[in-house]
Amino acid sequence: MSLLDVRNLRVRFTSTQSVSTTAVDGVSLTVEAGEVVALVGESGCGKSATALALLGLLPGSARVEGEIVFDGEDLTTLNDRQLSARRGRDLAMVFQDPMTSLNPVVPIGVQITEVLLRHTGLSKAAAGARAEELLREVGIPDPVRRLRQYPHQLSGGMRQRVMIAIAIACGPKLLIADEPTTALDVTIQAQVLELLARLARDHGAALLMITHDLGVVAGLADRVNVMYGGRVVETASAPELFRRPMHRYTRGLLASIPALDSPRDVALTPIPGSPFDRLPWESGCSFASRCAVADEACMVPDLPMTDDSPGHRHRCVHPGGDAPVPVSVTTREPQAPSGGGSPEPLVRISDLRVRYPARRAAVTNRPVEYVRAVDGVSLDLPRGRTYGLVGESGCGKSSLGRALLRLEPVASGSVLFDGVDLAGMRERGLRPMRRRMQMVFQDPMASLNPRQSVGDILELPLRVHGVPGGRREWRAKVLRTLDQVGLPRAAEHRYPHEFSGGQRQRVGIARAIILEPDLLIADEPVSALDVSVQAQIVNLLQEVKRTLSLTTLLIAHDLAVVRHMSDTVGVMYLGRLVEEADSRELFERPLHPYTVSLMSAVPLPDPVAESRRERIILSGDLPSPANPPSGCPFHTRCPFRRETRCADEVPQVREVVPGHRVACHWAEDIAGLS
Amino acid sequence: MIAFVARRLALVVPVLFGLSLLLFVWLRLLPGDPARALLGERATQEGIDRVNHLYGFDRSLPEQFLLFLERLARGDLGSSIRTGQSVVGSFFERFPATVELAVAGLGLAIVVGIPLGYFAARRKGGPLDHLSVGASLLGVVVPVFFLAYLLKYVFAIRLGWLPTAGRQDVRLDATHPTGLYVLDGVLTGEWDAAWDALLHLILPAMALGAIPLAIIVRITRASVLEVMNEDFVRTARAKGLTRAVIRRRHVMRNALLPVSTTIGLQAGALLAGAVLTETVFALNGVGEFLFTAVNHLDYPVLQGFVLFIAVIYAVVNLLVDVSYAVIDPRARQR
Repeated sequence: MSLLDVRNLRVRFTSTQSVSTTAVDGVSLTVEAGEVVALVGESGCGKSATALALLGLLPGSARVEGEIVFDGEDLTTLNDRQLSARRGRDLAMVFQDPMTSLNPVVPIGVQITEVLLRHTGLSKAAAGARAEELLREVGIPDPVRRLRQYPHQLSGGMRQRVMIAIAIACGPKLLIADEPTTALDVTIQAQVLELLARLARDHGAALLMITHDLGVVAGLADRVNVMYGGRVVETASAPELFRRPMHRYTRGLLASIPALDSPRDVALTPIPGSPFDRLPWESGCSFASRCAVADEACMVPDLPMTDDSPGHRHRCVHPGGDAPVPVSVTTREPQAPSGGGSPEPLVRISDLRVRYPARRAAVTNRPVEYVRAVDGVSLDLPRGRTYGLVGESGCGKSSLGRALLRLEPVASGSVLFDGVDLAGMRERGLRPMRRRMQMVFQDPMASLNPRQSVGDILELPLRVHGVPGGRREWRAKVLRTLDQVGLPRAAEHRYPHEFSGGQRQRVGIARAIILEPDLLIADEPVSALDVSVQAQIVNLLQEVKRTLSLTTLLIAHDLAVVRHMSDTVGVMYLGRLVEEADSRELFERPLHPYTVSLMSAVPLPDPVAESRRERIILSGDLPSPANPPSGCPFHTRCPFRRETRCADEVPQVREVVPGHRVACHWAEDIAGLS
Repeated sequence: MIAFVARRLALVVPVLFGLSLLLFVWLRLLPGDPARALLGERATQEGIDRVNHLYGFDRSLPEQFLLFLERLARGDLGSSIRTGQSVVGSFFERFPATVELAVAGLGLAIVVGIPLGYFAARRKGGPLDHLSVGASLLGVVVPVFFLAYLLKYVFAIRLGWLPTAGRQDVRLDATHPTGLYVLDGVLTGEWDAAWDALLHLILPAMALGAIPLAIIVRITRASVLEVMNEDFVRTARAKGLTRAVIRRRHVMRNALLPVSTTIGLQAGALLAGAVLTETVFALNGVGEFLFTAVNHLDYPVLQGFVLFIAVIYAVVNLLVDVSYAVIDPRARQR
């Protein structure tokens, strides 16, 4: 008997008496004792609703049907009191965002001990001692002090460790982790995933891992369930699923992810549409409306699961079979040789510094301490090329992008835009310059005014910058731009909330390019989007850049996306540029230890490659940018750290190999170049 | 924490200075003349000049202001034009009555408002929710003086359950070491005097507390509803905690943050309400005295009292900020 056997689970949310949406539409899955099972899908596929249903944590507006047999007992027949006795003891959960999932006004220690006091017979003192042990087990140094602290005093990675400590406190049989690393940085993600897998093994707990990231799953899971439209559409062992994906959706998902080892000069193969335009299962395959090979045969009500091979089942009328997943469809046009144009870069940043007040004096309120967000960065953006800037949160990459537009005050240094220094320029002089540089933001929902129609949003920049021509010409321009970003012309009269995330980001791009700028700054343009939609936007950005011969500064934390889109790549750490090179060169031969560890931390959507490679998991957290380490900012976490120079001498950026600049004292030694 | 309090206190000084200046100029822009108000319709010019000279109103405005500041530095706020009593003395004579009223009114609002708001949120959409939301709307829109008269009419005059006016039955001849009558009765062991003072306080406290009560109910309700949707409450449920622990430790502590801010803001509005309440119930408090002073353009009293009230307001808000820091560890760093 399986530890967990979910049969035909349905979850319906009723918003009003007549309107209801089906989030989970007949999910069946099993988890054996001690097994690691992944549930993969995009937003709206019902994976989180499934997890919450298991613990009986859905809001009151939800109706649950079906069976959830856990340890021989159907949880759907229990009332909340009976369920609460099992929650936290037999089934425990780790949530996505450790900042909001911990109570901000209760000390960490209490948040751990309360679950022990509830479910075990421990005394207060014994529970406190056990909490200390748990913190040690999840790798938090100085646990006695930490127990008295509050969530905001811990880093994101540490908070998630606390969540994990709470979850394993009572030795649960099943640990459910809902996107446990999505809110974390890549190097921290690697630590937390490793920890979760190890703890589940040590405690003999089964792990149900819910994620949108196939890469996270590949190295961790024994078995993978892929969900679409509220149902499991494919289930197989992890190696089998990645080797022989059957369902067209699984294949599409794998094809649309740029990987660190996929060929670079090809356009990605996106899945058209968004995960929200789907059919109900009663009328046929839910994925049919987005599927390239769908036909009448797919319109069978309630498509059953088909057995492909033992343990590999799917719900597809036209399974992919053994054909390789198509990766390249259209080849990208070759880049114009860089030497052809003017050698003068469009933007030249020299010794740029951006700082924020960190602490203020008691009475005068003057800042006495600064966070050095950007701490002396010099780089060039060559004309017509894409410069990718990567780094983890807090490394200063966004501050740098914003300072370029003078959206942040520049503390010192210069920003030459086409030969003009923007750093000391007055507001009045900046305006015509800003017309030539536009920005695409991460969250299109937050950066578009919800009360303006798309037509008004797009017309506004034309009006603000006094583009010649009247409303008639502006409108024509708006319509042309909508065509350009692949939105229907009717979008003009609609409002941001009427669009899906991907379409909204198209509006964001249209708003940025309508002024025909020279420079486009894209700050995490795809990280808020679903995997299948990311590829569409990546391709659109590439196309727009080519047709408008834009110079692009791409700011992102996702190495694969940066590698795919950029000509040159710069890596930042704690406000400094630590490495810069041509994209191919950088990814083939990273020289800075930080870049090396960053690449090794990215999970690959391929269990074979994942198990073969040697991973460097960085220990510790990012130091605070208000109080950076002496010498090389990376020396506190560097696996190649040496006794001399690293801790006391700041390494300068220097050309180690022609065209490849690195800020490391020992780059040649580490790379074996000398 | 100490630096935080020090900074806040240091900020109070320029605020008080600005307020004094503003009030000083503003009072003198008002139509009317204090000497004429004092001497009446048929005052002679000579008499008016004498009064003006006596109080220094014949000097230039900057000179008058400097004189005011100079006295203030010595702790002297002058004396009333009307009664000749010292401003400081008469303030402290009347202040206890107002403090007692304000504490009772706000206390009532807090003690009743927070639980009511909480239960309204728990039973969202239920009869109690509708009732409390409706009643709180009524509480906000009904003017204080109207409510005061209404309460007095129903409970004191028609039903005769409670006394109509004053702070205590004079026949009790109680002793008053602090001036807070209820407390005095308890301190001296004169229980009948304490009980009597408490009965006198009920209606004024209800009249004064109605608006803050209504606002506290609404803020508490909204805040509890918001916190119940927070991720950490879901985490608490996922831990299998009992409802009582979730409510007390996870919901209420967070929900009280905006409520405490509101209470601080209400303290200011409370003084405005106190003027009317004290007048209706003939409580010899600061508000009532201020009201008379306005009618007589009693400059020294107005200046002095407003300054006192501003100091009290600043202190109350400082206390609120401190309580905020006690509840919310994140606020301690700022």
